[in-house]
Amino acid sequence: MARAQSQFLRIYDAVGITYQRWQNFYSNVIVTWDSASWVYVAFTASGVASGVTGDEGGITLTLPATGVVEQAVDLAMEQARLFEVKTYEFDPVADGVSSPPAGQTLISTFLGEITSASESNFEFTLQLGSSLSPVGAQFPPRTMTNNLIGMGMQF
Amino acid sequence: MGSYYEKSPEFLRRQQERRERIEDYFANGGVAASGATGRGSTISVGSIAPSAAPPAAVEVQPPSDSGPAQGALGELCGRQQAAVIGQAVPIVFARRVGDRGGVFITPPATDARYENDASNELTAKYHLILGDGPMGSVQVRDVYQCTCRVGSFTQTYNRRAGDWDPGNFLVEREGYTLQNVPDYCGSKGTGEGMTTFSYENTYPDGSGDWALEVQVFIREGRTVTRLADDTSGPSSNFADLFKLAMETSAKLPADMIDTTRLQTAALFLDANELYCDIAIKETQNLDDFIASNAPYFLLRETRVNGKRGLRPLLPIDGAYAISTDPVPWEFEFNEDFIIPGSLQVDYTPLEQRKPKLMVAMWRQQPGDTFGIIRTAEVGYAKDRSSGDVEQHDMSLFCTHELHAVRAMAYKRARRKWSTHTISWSCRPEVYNRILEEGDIVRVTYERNASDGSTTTHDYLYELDQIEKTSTGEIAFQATHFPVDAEGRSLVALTVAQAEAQGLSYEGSIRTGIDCDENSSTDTSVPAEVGQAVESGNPPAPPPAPPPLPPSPPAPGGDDPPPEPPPGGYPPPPVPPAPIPTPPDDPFDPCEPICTSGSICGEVGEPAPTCPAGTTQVGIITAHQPDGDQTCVICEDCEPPDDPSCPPLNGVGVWNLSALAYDKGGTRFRYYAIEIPDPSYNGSGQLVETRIVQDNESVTAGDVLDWTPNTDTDTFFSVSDRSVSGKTGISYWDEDNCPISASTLAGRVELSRWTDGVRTTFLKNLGTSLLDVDCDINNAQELLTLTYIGPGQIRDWWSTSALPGGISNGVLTSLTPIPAPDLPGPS
Repeated sequence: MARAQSQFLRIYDAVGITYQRWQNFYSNVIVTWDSASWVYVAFTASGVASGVTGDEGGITLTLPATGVVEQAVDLAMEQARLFEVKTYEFDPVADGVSSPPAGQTLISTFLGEITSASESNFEFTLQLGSSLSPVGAQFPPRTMTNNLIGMGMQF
Repeated sequence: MGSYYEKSPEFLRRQQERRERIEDYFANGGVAASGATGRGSTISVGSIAPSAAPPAAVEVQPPSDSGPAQGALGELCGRQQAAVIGQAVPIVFARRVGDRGGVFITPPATDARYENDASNELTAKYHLILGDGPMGSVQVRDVYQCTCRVGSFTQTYNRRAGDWDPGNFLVEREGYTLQNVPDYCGSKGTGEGMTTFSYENTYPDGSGDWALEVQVFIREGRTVTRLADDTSGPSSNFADLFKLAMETSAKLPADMIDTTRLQTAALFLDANELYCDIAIKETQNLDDFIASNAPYFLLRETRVNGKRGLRPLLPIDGAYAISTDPVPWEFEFNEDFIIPGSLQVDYTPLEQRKPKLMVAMWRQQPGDTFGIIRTAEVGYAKDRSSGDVEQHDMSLFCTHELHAVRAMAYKRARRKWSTHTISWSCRPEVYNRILEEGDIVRVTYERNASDGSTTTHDYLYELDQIEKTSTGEIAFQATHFPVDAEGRSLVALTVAQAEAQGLSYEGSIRTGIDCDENSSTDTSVPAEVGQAVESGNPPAPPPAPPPLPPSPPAPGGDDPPPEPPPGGYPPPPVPPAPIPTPPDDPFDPCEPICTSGSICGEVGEPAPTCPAGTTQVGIITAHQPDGDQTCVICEDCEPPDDPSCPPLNGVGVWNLSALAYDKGGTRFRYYAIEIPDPSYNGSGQLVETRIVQDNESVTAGDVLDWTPNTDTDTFFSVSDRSVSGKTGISYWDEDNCPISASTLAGRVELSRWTDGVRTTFLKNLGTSLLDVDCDINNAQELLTLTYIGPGQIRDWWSTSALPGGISNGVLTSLTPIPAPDLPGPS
């Protein structure tokens, strides 16, 4: 049995509106999978780690710096859109490589926001994760301000 | 499988789905090269290496019932604290059920209002912050000041509670001593997104109880939608707190919160009586907060597929209770799956294996006082004799003894039974999609030693981390999951068997307290009263307090009140007319533009009333042959136009200085001190010293020898038209030195002269306003008096001490003012 992996990337927002659907295996074609069309973009995604040890357990996404990608990345950072990366495994010999086989196996799913981004050599490199650890969210989140409590008193 | 699945069809269904997926996989040819199936199973006796025989239960040391915790009541009677800008808005997360749960809080005050009536009974009102977000209603029986159920209150959310305006509105009452209440009373805030609380109480003349802290027992804290029952209300479930933190602090989108796992965790917490009743007042890192506290709830944080959630640390049954049945494993790894050379075992170092007694501090939370800090000692028999103790403070959130015992039992059992960790890598197989961190797996392999002998490594493990690389290789990290010969989790057995002692101290902590005015059984909730304060505008300054009439002589006082100067006070100007700011006044763009004038009543008639839109700032009483004539000084101030000006707080803060006196009562000297920079909070500096009516030169720091003569001395001072500061000397018995600031808290009478009209204010000196250094001179102490009150730059001021205040009067370093402008007695 031969093995191949394909990755499907969906960019959507908190209310569920999908803005982009990209895949990285079926070159220069638009394929149909999961009742939706997926455009070919030559991106790569690193592996996924889940667990409690180590760092955030995020992934790294590398994308070509095309106009569409640039716009999508800009908007995603501005509006905190979500990236969902799904990795599938299948047998390219048995199933062929023209379209996603119906029986391909979902290996991993990762969901995250862009925690950092850079551009170099006409490539975007995005770190996906949650904003919890890198930024250092505080709890309780709010502090007392003049607007909330006035000027404050002194005893 | 076992009968323990029967209680939860959902749990059974999910487990069955997993099994079916594996079955399907193998049914479709998913078999390892060697034919090993790796399929999961419950353990059979002797098939893996059991760690031990069934463990002896941990011992829980019973507490002594002869010495209940002391000191909690003392904390109830502290001084009321003020809310501070930049301080965290607390989160009060609590839910009282039965005799456990809830939390006592001492909410900070944002502003206050003080008034007194004719009998000098003081009414104090405090606006307090209970917590962030909506909270349950506070009952009458749950509000205290010090240890007493007194006062009235109202509570609201998302706006300011109560319908009053902050300020100090005390008025001098004849024959009474004015209370030394704060002058900075704060201003209104919006209260947006917070639960606010207005507290009101009255205090008889002379009582200092107005300053005591308000205490509130929170039975129902922050309102959330509970995961366990999908109901909106208070919660003491750590999973709910976790979800709240993810939503409010981390701002995680709903899709990135693992609600399914959180729901399981919430049900696990409820089923095993692990509760969280906490008031979080200090800001802390969210990750640290969760990582440090989740294990006390027998939970681990999960980050699966980018989603955050919680998962029980112990196996659970269908009712979400701790399972003590044989533990099934999800997958078995052997040499057919493990990449050669990738496997590594790390054994627990000695330091982490030594016997150690676990001690948890928890909080027995009565419904009528601060929690009593209790301890739970958990360990095996030999732990107690080891002398090694590991202490965990769970008192911030744990109000249930069984919770503390179970948390310690878990830590002790894990330390005792879990001996090593393991890591290995595999090629992609079925476990790519069926295994999650926290799952139990079995790892077996043969050791082939150099002497030709073989042994088998065969243990169960709990997966800590699964790394799925882009090349397809899967890396696992796991921790030894110890089981007995029957395949039951030794840690789970230990925790499930741990029992609380159940001794309660309740009934002996609150004794001898009979000061309640409200009933201890009054569960009613007062009507909600609140007011909307517009957001976005600078907070409105509180109104200036009204002036005080001349102080009457206090009974028994040693020092005489200031007498009218020879010839009496100058007659008030009639008719009243606004007094414009003198053109030569130094212009301060940040000073309010005020005009004032006086209105006099008829001889023998009551004081007139100031017109609408003006504020009464003074009262003058002239002793006429036919009776007293009373005039009021009315002031109309406009705030400064310059937006860059600092907030005015409605009043200025000026340092007052200067004193003039005449020993023989025949001559008066006038002195003043100029302050070049009349800042709002700073003390000015003496810039020059001049003499006015005689040619005597007085310099800053000079001490004028003076002993008050109650028969003839009249002492008062005037200042320059600029703001002035006061440095005075008070005489003290050197045998009584040192003195403290608190002993100096007293009163000083201030006289304000405007166009020859004298207005007297009686000022309280807060201890914070006195700068006392006892070592300057054993017989004389240097005081710096700061006046905080209404006034204008052009005003003239005088000071004197009053009985009950600074004894023996005050002398200063002095500076005269220009003679032609001097008001005062003729």
